[in-house]
Amino acid sequence: MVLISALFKQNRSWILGYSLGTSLYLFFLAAVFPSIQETGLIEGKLDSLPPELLEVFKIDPNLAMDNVINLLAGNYYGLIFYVLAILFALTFASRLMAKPVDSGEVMLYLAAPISRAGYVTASMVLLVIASGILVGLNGLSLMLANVLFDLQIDIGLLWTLQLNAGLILVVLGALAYVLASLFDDSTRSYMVTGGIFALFLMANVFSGFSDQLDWLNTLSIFSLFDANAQIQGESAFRSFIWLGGLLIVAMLLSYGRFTRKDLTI
Amino acid sequence: MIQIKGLTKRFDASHGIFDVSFTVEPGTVFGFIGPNGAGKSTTIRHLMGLLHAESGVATVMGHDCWNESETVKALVGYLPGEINYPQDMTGEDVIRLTRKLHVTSAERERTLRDVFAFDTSLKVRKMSKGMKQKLAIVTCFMKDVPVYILDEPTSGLDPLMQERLVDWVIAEKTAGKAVLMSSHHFPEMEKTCDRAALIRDGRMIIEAEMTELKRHSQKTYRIELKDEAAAMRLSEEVGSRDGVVVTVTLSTVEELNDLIHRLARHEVQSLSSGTDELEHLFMQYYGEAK
Repeated sequence: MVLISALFKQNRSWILGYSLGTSLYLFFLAAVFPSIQETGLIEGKLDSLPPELLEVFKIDPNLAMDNVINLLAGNYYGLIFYVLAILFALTFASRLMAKPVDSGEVMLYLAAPISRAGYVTASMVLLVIASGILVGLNGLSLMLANVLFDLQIDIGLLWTLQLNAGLILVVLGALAYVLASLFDDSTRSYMVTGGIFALFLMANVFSGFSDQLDWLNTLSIFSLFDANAQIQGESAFRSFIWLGGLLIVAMLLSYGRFTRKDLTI
Repeated sequence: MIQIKGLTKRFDASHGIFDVSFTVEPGTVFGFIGPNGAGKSTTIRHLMGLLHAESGVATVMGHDCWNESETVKALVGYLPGEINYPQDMTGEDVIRLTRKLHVTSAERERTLRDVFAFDTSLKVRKMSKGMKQKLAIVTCFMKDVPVYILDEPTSGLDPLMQERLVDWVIAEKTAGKAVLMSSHHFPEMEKTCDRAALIRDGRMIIEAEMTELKRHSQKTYRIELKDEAAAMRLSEEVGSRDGVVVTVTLSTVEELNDLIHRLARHEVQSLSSGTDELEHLFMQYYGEAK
């Protein structure tokens, strides 16, 4: 508990930065939604865009823009969220594994009667807390906007999306953590992890260019968070199972790697 | 108390530590000496459970340093060679966290803060090397534990603080603690250590009582005489000459007494000793390595 609270204190600035920044973005988008809906500009704008571009941003042209969640499916829960999730995961792995091990800062904790498994556990708990704060504040900001501007948000759908988003953050963070533990050099780990996540993103984007490239989407972890499908009533259960499985594998790999790793700090 | 037996860790064909063995008993300070990259810190990292040995064992009070690292770390106060605290924490934050993560003594903390006083409100990024070292010393000795492992403990400290640290280490030794100290600062080693080992290229080349090491070491004296003729006469008997200065290297007490008798016949302007005994011994071995 002491370790978790110390790690949280050390990392709260970037956690709150991501959480408050995205929550403000969502709140303002929700706040202006009624006025832009009245003008009918969104549909007109979307009609004028090429279908490939809509696919890149995960905007479903068949989805009526009569609800702020439908708007957010393209303007937040698609490409924007994927990039945000990558940056969040890289920051987490860099602050909790790559940098402290590379610089020797982790010795502050490892000189104490704390096992390496204890450090991994505390890091994972922090990841869950950080992801929870981000998606929690995102959800709350939309609920506040719902109350203030009478947006008719489907609360069940909203929190299912938030849960799915939170799971994506946790799984990406855990994967980045494992990859960071493979290297002693923080710059190299940052580049390798960033490269792998960029490939996920590219697979997701390129899959939208043609039906023949659809299979690419299955290679990407982001296929496990499809806001448009959920808005159209598709169950997120399969995604949750997959993400849960990936999380367990990533956590086991983190324990296995870090508890056996030679640390030259 | 601390026992290392046949410890081997190979990083590549020539780097690592090879068959390192020594014991540090309660109530003693063990000096671990060697040039940069000799394997001192690698050995210490095994004791702190950071490295896994290929062969051999490292134990603290009978507990294996790799398999029982949590237990070992509860028994050890550790002062790392490189002080790398999180840059955004203040000294006070680090001390407060140490209090929470370790079992510490409030009384020791108060005394340490007085003896190694510094501005604890500063962030680590703003601290000088000496301040960071004092912070590390305070957090290391806040724990009242039976074993202390100190890696270059006086690095960055001013002479007054070095002296205080030496006094502190001697007090811990007197209280029955086992102290392993790696250092390049020979005067502090001579004052504190009971036994010492020299390590070079990952291999222990000598381990003995300090008195024994001193007996085998040489001491250099620099004698300035009044004129060149006197210097020439003395240098013909002992040592080598550079102008009016004669340099004499001695190994035994008999040789020292003989020199004093000879000097009584000359008008000596000044007399100074060269490097410390331990340093001289170290330089002999280091010189061989080069």
